[in-house]
Amino acid sequence: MANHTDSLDHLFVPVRQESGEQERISRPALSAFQDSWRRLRQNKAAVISLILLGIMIVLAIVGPWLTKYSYAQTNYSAVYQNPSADHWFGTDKFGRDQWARIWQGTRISLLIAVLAAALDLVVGVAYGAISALKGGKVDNVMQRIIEILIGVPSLIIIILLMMIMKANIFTIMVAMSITGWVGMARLVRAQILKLKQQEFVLAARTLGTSNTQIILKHLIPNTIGMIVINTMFTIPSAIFTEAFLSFIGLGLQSPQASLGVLIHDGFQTLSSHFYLLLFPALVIVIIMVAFNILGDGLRDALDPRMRK
Amino acid sequence: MRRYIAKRIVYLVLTLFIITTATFFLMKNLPGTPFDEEKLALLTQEQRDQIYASYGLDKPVIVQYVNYIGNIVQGDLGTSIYYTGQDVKDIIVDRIYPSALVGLQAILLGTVIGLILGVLAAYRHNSGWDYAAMIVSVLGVSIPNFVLAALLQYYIGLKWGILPVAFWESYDSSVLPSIALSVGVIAIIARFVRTEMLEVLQQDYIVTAKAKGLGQMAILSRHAVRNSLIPVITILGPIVVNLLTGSLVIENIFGIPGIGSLFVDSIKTNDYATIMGVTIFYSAFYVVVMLLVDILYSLVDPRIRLGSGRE
Amino acid sequence: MSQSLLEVRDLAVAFRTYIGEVQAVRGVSFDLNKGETLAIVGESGSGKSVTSKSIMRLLAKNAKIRSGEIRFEGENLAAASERRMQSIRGSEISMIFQDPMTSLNPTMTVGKQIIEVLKKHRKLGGAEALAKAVELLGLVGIPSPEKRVKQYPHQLSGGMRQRVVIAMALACSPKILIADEPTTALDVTIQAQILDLMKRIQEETGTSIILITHDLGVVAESAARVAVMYAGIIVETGTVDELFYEAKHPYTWGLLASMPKLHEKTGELTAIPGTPPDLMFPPVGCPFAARCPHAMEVCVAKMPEYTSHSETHSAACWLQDPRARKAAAATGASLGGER
Repeated sequence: MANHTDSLDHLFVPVRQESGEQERISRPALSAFQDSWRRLRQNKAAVISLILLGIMIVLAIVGPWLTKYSYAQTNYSAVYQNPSADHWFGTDKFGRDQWARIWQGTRISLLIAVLAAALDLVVGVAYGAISALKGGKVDNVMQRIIEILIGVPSLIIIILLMMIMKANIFTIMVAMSITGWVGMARLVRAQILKLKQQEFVLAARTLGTSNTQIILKHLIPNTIGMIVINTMFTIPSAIFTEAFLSFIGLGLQSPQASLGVLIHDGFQTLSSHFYLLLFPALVIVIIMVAFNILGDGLRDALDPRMRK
Repeated sequence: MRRYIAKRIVYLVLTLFIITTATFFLMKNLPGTPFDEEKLALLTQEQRDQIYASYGLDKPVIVQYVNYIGNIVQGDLGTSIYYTGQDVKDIIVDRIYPSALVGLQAILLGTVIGLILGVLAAYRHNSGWDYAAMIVSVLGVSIPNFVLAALLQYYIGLKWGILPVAFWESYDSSVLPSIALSVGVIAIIARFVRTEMLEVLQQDYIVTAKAKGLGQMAILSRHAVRNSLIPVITILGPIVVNLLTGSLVIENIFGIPGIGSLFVDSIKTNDYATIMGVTIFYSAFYVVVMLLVDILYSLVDPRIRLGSGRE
Repeated sequence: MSQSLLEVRDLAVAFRTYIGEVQAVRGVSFDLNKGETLAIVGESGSGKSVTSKSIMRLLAKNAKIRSGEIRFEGENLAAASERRMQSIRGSEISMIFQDPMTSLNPTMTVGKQIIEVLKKHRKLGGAEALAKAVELLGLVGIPSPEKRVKQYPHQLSGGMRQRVVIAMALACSPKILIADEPTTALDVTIQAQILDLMKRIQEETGTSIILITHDLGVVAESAARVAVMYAGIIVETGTVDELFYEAKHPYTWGLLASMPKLHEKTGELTAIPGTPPDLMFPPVGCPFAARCPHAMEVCVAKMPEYTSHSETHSAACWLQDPRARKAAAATGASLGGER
C-alpha cells in the first residue's frame, strides 16, 4: 500500500482547469428532424419499401417507353401470348402488350391516388386548421358538420357518384375526395388543438411572439409530420378504391389502362391465362405494401416517445 | 349518458336523412332507365305513361321525394323494378342470411386470430413472432380482397377442389368467402392489438405488478391483455365497414346471394328502388353499429363509465 | 449493535444502448439495518433508482448487473433465479414508485389490486382477502375503506392513491420497503402526510425502509442514515446529523448549499456549476472533479478511496487524505465543511 500511494504524492496539487470545461456537453445534440431521419434509415423494412416505391415510380414513368408497343395498340395475330422476349409481360385478348399496359396503368392509378390525396390534404388541412384556430362557435359548427359526415359510409357515396358521372381521372379523383377529406380534417384539428394548449405555445406568447409566427414556427412544423403520415396511408386507400371501382365496372374501362382495369380484365381469364392477373396483382400489392410499411416506419420515426 | 345517447340518435337520424336525400337525387340523375329500352319502344306512349305512373315516376321530382320519405318512415322501401313487383324490403330480408353468416364468421375468425397474433407480437417484441405478425398484418391490409379472393378461388377451389368455389349450396360454400373476408380483419386487429399492448407494457402499473411478485403469465393476462383489449372495441366500427365493402366484392366473386351482390346487381340494372333500399339499409346498419360500439366502449372502460370525477 | 438486513457489495450495473454501454452504477456498497430508514440521495442520473431496482431485480431488459453482490439474509439476490425473486417481491421486499397516477392499473379496483398480492403470497381467499384489504386501507389512513376498496384509481386523489400503493406494498408485512421518490409527484402538504405515514408504519411494524430521493428536506424529515450518490458511486455515507452538520465531500457541500433556506434572505440560489459526466465513458478519477472547486491533479487521475470519520461516517474524497492537508497548507487554500 505504501508503495503505490508514494507515487501519487506529487499529484496533491490544485488542478489546472480550462474555463468552460464544466459546461461542455459531451454528445452532439440532434435536431428532431435529424433524429427522425436517422431512425427511419435504421428501419430496414421502411428503407426497402422506399426503394421499391422509387423503382415502381420510375418504371411507371419510363416503363411504357421501354417497349415499342403502345398500351392501346391491338394486334390480333398475337393474342393471349405468354410472357416472352418480345412481350415481356405477354399479351391480352386483343393482342395488347401487357408491359406497356401495366406501367401505363400504374401511371394512371398513381396519378389518381396522388391527386385524390392532395385534394384531401388541401381541403382537410384547411378545414381542420380553420376550425381549430378560430375556435369557439365557428369550431362548434364545423365540428357538428364533420360528426354528421363521418357517419356516412364513404364507399357508398363514391359508388353512387361514379354511377352518375362518366368515369375519367378527374371524376374518380373528385368522388374519392368528397368523402376523404373528413379524416384529415379531424386529425389536423385534433393536433392543432392539442398543440395550442401545450406549454411551449404559451411560452412563445409570453415572449411576445405574434400569432402568425406561432402558427408558422410552432404549429405547422409539428403538424406536418402527422399530415405526411396520414397521406402515406391515404394513397394506398385511394389506389384500392380505384381498383375496386374498376373491378365492379364503375371505374375506368378498357381500352384505358389502370391497375383496376387490368385486374378486372385479368380476372376474366383467371383459370386460363393466369399471368394476365398475376402481374397487375403483383404490382398493386407491392405498391400498397410499400406505402403501408413506409407509413408505419414514418409514424414510428416521428413519434417522440420512441426516441432512444 | 342518456343525453349522449339522445344526441347520437339525433345525429343518426340526420345522417340517414342526408344519405337518403343525396342518394335519391343522385338516382334521379342516373343515365339510362330501369326499363328495358327495346321493349319500351314497342309500346304506345299511353302505355308508357301508364307504366311510369304505376311506379310513381310521372310526378314532379319533389313530390316523388316527399312520398318516398313518407314511405320510408312507415317502413316501406318501395317496389323493385327489376324483380318485378317484389317489395324491396322483402328482397333485402331474404338476402340477409348469407351475408350475415359469412360476415359473422369472418369477424369471429378474424378477431380471434388477430388477437392472438397481436398479443404474441407485442409480448415477443422484435422476435420472429413479431415480424411474422407484422408481415401478415401488412399483407392483409395491402392485398386487395378481390385479389385474395381470386387467388383462394383459383387454388383452393379450382385446382385443389377442396371447397366449393361459387354459389350457395351448402354450409361449405361459406367457408372460402369467410376466410377471404377475415384476412382484412386479422390484419387490422393484429396490428392494433400489438400497438396497444406495446404501449401497455411500458406503463408503470406493469412494473408495479412485477414488483408485487406476480409471474409473467399473471401480469400478461390480468393486466396487459385486459387493458389492451378495451380499445379494440373502438376499431370495431372500421372493421364493420371493411366487411360491408368487402362483401360487395366477395359476394360477387363467389356468387353468394347476399346483400352485397344485390347492391351490385341493382346498380348494373339501374333498379332505382332497390339501390335506394340497399343504400339506406347499409347506412342505417353502419350508423347503428357505430353508436352501439361507442356505447359498448363506455360501458367497458371504467374510467369513462364512472366519469372522471374524484370523490 | 443492529443487524444488517441487506448488504450490497460492489454493485455494478450497465445499460446496453444502441450507441454503447452506459455504466449507471459503478461499485456501490452499503448496508441496511433492521428497522432503520436509509436515504439514498442524488440527482437524476446518479444511479440511485437503478441501484434500488437492482435489489428487486426489476431492471429493464437491456440492463445487466455486471458484478457485485446483494446479500439479503444471507442470500445473494443478484444471482437468484427469477422464480425465487418472484417469491421475494411483494412479500419480503416491496417497492413503491414515484407516480401514483400511473402506478395503479386504471381498469382494476384498488381492492382487487391489493388482493392480488395477498392471494399470491399469503394464499388468502375471497372474503378473507377482502377483509384484509379493507383493514390495510384503514391502516394507511384512508377513510371509509369499505367503500374505497371497490373504487377505481381515478376516483381517488393523488395522496390517497399513494396510500393505496403503500398499503399494497405492506400487505404481506415485508422486511424491507423500497420507496423510490414516493412524494415527488405530490403536493407539499400531502408529502408531509405520506412521510408521516411511513414513519408511523415503521414504528409499528419495524420495517426497514430505503428511501430514494433528490430532496434533502425529505431526508432530514425521515431518514436515520444517508448515502449520497453521484455518477454511479456513493460519495458519502453517514447519519443524518453527520451529513448535515459535518459533511466531508464537496458534492455534499454543494447540495447543502443549494437548498433554499426560508430564514435567510440571500440573493441568488447557489447552484453547482456544470453537469454530471457522461457515464458511457466514465472518468477514471473522481467523477466530481470537473465541477469541484477544490480539485487536485490526483482527483482527476485516480478514484478516491473511502476515508472513515466515524463508525457510520465515510466519504470518498482525496481531500480527506493527509497529503491533501499538507498541500492546502502550502497554498493557503481552505478545506473543511463549507455550508
